[in-house]
Amino acid sequence: MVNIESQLTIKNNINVLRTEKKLTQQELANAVGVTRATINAMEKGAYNPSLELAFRLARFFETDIQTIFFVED
Amino acid sequence: MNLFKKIVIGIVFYTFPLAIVDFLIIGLYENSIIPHIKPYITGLYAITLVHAVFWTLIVLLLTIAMFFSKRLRNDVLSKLSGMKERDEREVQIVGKALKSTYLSTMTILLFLLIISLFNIYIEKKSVDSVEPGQLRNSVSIHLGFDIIDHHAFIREKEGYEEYFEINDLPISSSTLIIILMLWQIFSYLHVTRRSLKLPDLAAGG
Repeated sequence: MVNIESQLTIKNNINVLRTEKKLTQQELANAVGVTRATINAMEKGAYNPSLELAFRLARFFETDIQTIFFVED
Repeated sequence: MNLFKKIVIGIVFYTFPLAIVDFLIIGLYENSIIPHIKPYITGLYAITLVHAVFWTLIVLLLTIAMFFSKRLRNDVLSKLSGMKERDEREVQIVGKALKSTYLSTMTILLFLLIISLFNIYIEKKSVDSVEPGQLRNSVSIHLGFDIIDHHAFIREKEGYEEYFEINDLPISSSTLIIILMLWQIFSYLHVTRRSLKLPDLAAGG
């Protein structure tokens, strides 16, 4: 059986960007079409979003994906 | 989900505990388990009987409708299992939970299948029927498989020239378990193969 656990540690700046925009988790969740729990899980690094959600976040924060998500060495 | 569907699903699930109470009262009354309270619960029995019949009919109709409507099936079973798929993370969680449920259900079914194939006999013969050299007491285990449950059919009854009755499911428990296992495997393979199939790029699909 293939081990599908991620080999890369992907971190994100969602919390920082959200705080800069003075948004609550619920407001960001509504803006990108997910639940508040998903925003919380992403901020805590417990969930890596799909490429589509990553693009939606990038579009919302008016930046590129690499600014939001990065690989930790 | 439209209003009619909401009402039907609501009736089925929110009155389910009440239906269990109905069946308990009906059983208590019809089998005279506590004979001295029977005259006092006749009115209650009539009400519970009407509700139980109404509830059973709705469940029957809903079950038949679920065979034909995938959307209704999804709505009802999501409600029943408390499944939520509001975003991609919840879809992923549901997938993991279903994998775990599928594998554990298959394990339980396999175990039940093995158990259902065994017949255990514990015998103690009467003193007269024991022949010299034969044991009076014995315990034996047999392996057996039968497609039909013969106990479900009653073909004779006192006072009737011809009589036929079917109680319960006419198939054996082993057959039922095999059908469920095959359905699980077939359904899983059907969905995964369809989902794994890539569009034909050469054909411009």
